[in-house]
Amino acid sequence: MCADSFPSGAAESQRLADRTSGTLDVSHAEARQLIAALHVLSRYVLFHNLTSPEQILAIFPENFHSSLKNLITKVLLEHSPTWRSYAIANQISLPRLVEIDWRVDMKTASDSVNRMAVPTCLVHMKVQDSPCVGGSDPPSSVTVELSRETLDTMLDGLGRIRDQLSAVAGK
Amino acid sequence: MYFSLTEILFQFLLEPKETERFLRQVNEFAGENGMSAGPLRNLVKSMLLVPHGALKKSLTAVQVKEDLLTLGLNEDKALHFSNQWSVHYPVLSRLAIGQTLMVNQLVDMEWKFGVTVGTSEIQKLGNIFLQLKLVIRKGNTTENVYMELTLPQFYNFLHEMERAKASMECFS
Repeated sequence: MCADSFPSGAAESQRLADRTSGTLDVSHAEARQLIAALHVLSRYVLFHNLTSPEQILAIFPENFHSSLKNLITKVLLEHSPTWRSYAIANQISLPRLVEIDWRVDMKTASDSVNRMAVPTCLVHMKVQDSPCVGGSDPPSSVTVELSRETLDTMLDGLGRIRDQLSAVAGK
Repeated sequence: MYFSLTEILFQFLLEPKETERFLRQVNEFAGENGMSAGPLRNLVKSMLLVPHGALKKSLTAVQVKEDLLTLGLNEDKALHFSNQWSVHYPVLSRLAIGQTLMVNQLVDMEWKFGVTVGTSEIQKLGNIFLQLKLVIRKGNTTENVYMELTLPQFYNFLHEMERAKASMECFS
């Protein structure tokens, strides 16, 4: 139930409320209240990154049922890593690079030169909008052609990024 | 007189975008040597067919000289032209290859990377992100493509590009 109440639309979900009221044998209104509360609680734990049992137990009011408190805390701690990865994967961002393929061709002739041997590289990149932006847009793709010089320049640039990243990570 | 005409011709071949300058030089040449500009322009246009054909067939200087002799040019002039040809050939052939069709050519790449400090879901975060802007030539205009990569995606991208480069080097 904790896991089900985490996603954003959970508080409004009719189906979830029905299921909950059936499982726990409570009224529909009480079920919705419970789901909304669990939703807020799980989001709170995620936002403040509460990772120890003591931190979570501290949120509950003093007269809260003890074993229920411990159970809920345990469940929240179990799900936190999954929720954290999910939130990070779904945060707003520029379109994400999803997949990359490449191919190296050898140009052997053109309208201006009858015979040549010029290698060229084609790179195909699949990008997808962040899930929270366009919903479930299909990924768009872009194919680029790079000459040898362009590829060398690009690798220079990427190498510099890598060096700067290691410098930052080293600090 | 022939030498300066050859020079004008080669200047144009080396910088094919300078059509105005080329026509101006041809007209000046006509004026200086007492010829009418119109027929000279036509003559020069036909003369250009020789180097264009030679580039297409990747002819050597010797072959160019033979062709010119066959066309009726005298020995000295053919020799001068073929000497100029061997001097300028590397640049000319690179220009011809450079004119070859490229589809969605990557023209420029810009990047920035930084750290995501927090989001509306998670108050404190410390993830590194990389943003790339690729400038792609589509016909006469350019198009910008923006994308974001996580750190593992960046390393994968770098790895793939290094493999592509290794593959290209195999061919030379």
